[in-house]
Amino acid sequence: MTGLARRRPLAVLLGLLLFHLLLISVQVQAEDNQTLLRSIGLSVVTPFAVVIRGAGDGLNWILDHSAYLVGVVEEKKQLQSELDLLRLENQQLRELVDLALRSPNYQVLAGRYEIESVPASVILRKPPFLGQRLGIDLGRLAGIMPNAPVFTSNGIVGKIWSANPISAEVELITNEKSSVGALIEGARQMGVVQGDGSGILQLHYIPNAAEVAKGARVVTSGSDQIFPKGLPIGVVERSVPGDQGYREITVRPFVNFSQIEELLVSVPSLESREKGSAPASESRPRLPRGGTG
Amino acid sequence: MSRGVPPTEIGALFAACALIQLILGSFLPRAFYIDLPLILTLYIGWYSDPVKGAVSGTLLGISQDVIQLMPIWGLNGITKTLAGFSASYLNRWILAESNWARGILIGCVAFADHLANSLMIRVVSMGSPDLLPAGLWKAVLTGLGGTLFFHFYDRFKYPTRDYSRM
Repeated sequence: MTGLARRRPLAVLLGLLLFHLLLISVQVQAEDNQTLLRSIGLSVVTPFAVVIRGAGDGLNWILDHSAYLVGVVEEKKQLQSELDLLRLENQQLRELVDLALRSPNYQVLAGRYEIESVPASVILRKPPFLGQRLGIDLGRLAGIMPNAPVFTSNGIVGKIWSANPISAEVELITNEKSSVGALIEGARQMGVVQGDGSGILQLHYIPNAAEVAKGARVVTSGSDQIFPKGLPIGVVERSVPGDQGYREITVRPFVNFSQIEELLVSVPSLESREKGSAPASESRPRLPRGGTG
Repeated sequence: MSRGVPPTEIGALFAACALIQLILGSFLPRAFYIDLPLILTLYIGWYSDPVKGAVSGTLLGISQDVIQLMPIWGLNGITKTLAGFSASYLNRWILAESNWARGILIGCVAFADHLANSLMIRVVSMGSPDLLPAGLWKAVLTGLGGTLFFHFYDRFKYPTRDYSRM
């Protein structure tokens, strides 16, 4: 074997490692989580994932729709869909009632509670030990933009991390770097909910003097300019005074993240899209239409 | 046993791996504790030359990064490339023909792979993945899965070989 042939494996290895390092460095530099490579890669994978998801759903459909259950299944699906939307509207109307009692010009603020959304299906999930992210089957073509709020009828799920034309990645609120402006119902204390990667949330910046009981509901405050005010986040599971003047509060999310199959993504209204595709966080969301939680 | 995994077989293994991962990613993400791309990379590297091992590791690793929604693509690519390359040499230096020896070897590589990936994610500040419990679970389950794969795939490929001493 010549010296050159002997060194070929090592040269190939070094070439491949260099390729990977370049690949990583390009992505680390990207500020909006969206590189051309990532967009192309996910666009290639998405059709296969959608077909597999569809095949799985089709199998479920066949199993569910045995002859005498057809009517019951359809009715249950329709009722579930209506219930999901009503739950969300109910939560927001409760917030509106609170607002009306406290603020004389609540009608001006009422627009903040309207959400325009599109229903999307989960097609990919990240391994549980590597973080909290989902892949969904809708992207920029459906009006989905980075930072758009994502929720179900039970509560908020997270926000869009990156989006390509036909799919998008959702970063869950339980992710370590995720944070959401929060409000404790009843106590009316505002804080920030942060994930730690464990599935449980931490509520920060609530003073020790505030009375926060176990079981109190936590909703979005709207202060982060991403999530509209009044969407459910979770329920206080533990609340004890902390060392630095703030309570140590843990919040259990309302949403069971491991079982999400369908979710709603906030999209800019048609008018603002026509004006020049304003990011979802800057748009004024409207009431849910046609979603299935 | 004749050395070498033909490119068509590598292609078939790659396609099967991508399909299985897509199904798991959609319906059962917990099954990712069994690192199938690593098992296939080691298998290809074990039975072929270092170049095929490294290239297969690159392809399988990057497909794993894409399907598992890794924050940065290329992390699994690096570790699998090194695993595929090393497996080819390990086969020459280490006699790991018994199921136990293979299982332990695959488990150790899976643990190292998980630690390397997790640490790289921390270094680029893209999160702080679970290190120890997840790494140990991954090592045990991947070791077990890899042993079963080597055991049955070898018998499928070489049915006439004498396996009585394994």
